[in-house]
Amino acid sequence: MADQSEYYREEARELLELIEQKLIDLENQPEDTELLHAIFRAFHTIKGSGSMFGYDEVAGFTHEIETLFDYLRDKRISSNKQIIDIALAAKDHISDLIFSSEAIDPEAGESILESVRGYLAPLQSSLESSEAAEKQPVPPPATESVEENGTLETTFRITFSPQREFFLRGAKVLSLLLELESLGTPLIFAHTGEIPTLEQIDPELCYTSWTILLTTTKDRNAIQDIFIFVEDYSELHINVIDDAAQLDITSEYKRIGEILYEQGYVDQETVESIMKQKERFGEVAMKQGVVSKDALDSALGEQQYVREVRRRRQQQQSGTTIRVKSEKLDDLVNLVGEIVTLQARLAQYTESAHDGDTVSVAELENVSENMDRLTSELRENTMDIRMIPLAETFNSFHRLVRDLSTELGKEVELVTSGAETELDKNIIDALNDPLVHIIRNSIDHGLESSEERQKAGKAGSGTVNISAEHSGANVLIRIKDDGRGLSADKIRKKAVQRRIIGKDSKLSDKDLYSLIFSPGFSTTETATSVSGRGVGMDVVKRNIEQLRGKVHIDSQPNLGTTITLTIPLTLSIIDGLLVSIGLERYVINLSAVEECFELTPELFQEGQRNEYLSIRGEIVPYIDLRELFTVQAAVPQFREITVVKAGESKVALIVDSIIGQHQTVIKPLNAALNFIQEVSGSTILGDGTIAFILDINKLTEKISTGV
Amino acid sequence: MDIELQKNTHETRLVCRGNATAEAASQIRDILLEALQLTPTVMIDLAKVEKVDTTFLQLLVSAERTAKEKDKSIQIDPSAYCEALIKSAMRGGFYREAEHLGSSSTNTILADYYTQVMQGGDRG
Repeated sequence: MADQSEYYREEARELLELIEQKLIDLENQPEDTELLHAIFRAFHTIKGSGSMFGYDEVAGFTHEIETLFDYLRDKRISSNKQIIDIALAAKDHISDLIFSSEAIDPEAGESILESVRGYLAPLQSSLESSEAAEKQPVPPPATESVEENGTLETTFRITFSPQREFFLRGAKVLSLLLELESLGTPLIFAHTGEIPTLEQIDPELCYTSWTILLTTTKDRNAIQDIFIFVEDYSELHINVIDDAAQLDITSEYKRIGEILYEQGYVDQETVESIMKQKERFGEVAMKQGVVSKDALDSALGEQQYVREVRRRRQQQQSGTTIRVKSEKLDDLVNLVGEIVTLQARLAQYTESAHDGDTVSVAELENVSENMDRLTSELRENTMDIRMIPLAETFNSFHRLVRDLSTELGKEVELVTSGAETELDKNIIDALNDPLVHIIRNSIDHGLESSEERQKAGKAGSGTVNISAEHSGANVLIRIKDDGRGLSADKIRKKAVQRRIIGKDSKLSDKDLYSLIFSPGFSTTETATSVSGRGVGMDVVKRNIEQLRGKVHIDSQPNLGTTITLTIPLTLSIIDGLLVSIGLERYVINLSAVEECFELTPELFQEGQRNEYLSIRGEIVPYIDLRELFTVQAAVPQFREITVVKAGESKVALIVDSIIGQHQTVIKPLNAALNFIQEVSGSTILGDGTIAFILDINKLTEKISTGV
Repeated sequence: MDIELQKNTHETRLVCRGNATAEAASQIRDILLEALQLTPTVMIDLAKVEKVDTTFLQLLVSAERTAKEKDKSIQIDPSAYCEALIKSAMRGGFYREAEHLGSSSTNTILADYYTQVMQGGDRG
């Protein structure tokens, strides 16, 4: 589809979500008028804005649904499950019409409308007259978008009125207009009102004037240059009517009255008196003979033209947009202000130094400290802007659960907590598919049917619990069901069958559960349409790991299964602890660091499998990174330990020395280095050298699996 | 410009050839007036016209107004396609005028062009 307005789509997306939520609420509270009103308003807005932005099919389709809800809120019909099903189907169809890139089967929409009409028909005694789609001005969202084009365009209105003798001087209008084409694509209106009849006309005189709208990256002078030779026998006015440099978000261009006034066709009094009459300005003005038809034409043309220009510009600008609270942006602006001030100070010091004055170390230190503080704050602030709460994602799951519940014939309740937890938008987008899959899996394979549950002494309705909470620099998302739990036996059998493990391998239940994530694994004999054929969990694991997260699965027979996702809050900047080993330096994610201290001989203890340290009585396994990385350089006399924690596991890492805290911008490793497990990224230090970022998860895994 | 006047019962046909520009303006005006006095309908054939300028466009408008006053009709022959007319009418912004006078084909071309410019397209 060619024409799309990003703002409409974003608004529609939110409205459709709202409709879904409220419809589900409505099932539990069918008489709630507030809900009905809200749903009606949402459909109404989608319809109205839809027709304004050219989504005619959406507007047409939504119109009938809107009517249904109009009747519902007026209590002329009462709601029931079928109506809600129809409404949900309608919401999906509208979503497809707006967002789907595939061709929409017109039958789908028709069948929904048929059902709707079934409810409407008894109430409509006469044929409903087709209402002209109401054009409601939609207040644009209070977000700011930034001009991405290098060259900004300005739209000019050029009025050109040659004198009567123009042609007698040998000047040619068409040539001038041709030259204008080199600046852009002009829209030209010829005002022919003054051309007399053949009896009265002097064929060699010029009776025509022109209004030209031109959108161009050039400036006013370029236009004036074109008319320079005919200046003396014509009148030329050049006005700016739209400027891409103005971030004027309300794309409502001027009213007709304003345009005509600007062009000098009407005076202010006339404009005001006509505006008082509630009819269309143009019609009244014509009736009163105040303006000629072609003046009106060009004013209308101008209005339409500028709207188009603005619409196209908005379209170019927005890729994906985020709604941001204005306070966050205010903070950002303040920060930038402070940085500018600091920069000025630095510039001053530099100049002084040039002039031979000495700049004290204390002064430089001060600037450096402030710069440090400000960049920290700036980083936090911009990261924060990208953070949005999980609420939206969680809410969409209510619909999913309801549908699955119906499809699979199981009673399921979804309980969420921690929806206010915020995550980077990119991460949220990437989490959606894995979460959907996990939920589907839970309901399909984890939860038993009502009869089974009751036989087992459980409540007939199963519960899926999704929760989110911050933990250090991570977010923990848990999906828990109270179903039958994983069957270690079944998994073992399947794994052996699939040759994932050997027949005689002895794995703990916990280890067996993790096998679920192996590619090609699935314990149901027949894949259902919902959960697929075992392509799921390994893809989920991979997706999560791509976000530098971790998946963990735990289960208890008959009690249920819990899947825990540990996702880092941001993708690219972390607070790190810089350590040195040999000649190299490494970074450890500071949020994983528990404590640091000097390595002393007493700490060592001999153990059965691993070697471990005894730290204040606690047994902690350790890894000597020098050994791990086979570092050759001379061993220092005193070494240090960093104790890190990943999930439940603690490990003591022995390093040469701990240098200190370091704000780390993560640079991903080249794919060729992916085989190196212990390192998950790299960063460039202040002196230009590279430090690798240790993968704490992998290191702790090494210890627990004894590898 | 060379203009041949062909008078039929109900329609006078003006077959033009050459350049419809300022030098011929007076001549064109005279013939147009004459034709309008002869029959209720006047048909202008511009197939062989190579150049069209603003004076001619003005005269077409004037002729249309005159015809209206006299309760007659004047038209440009739709089957006699004239590229120069279309180009000049587009460039000069004479959309509506061409509409009144024009053949449906001219109208469609102009209407399409108008829409195109509105949508920021390139001049064809």
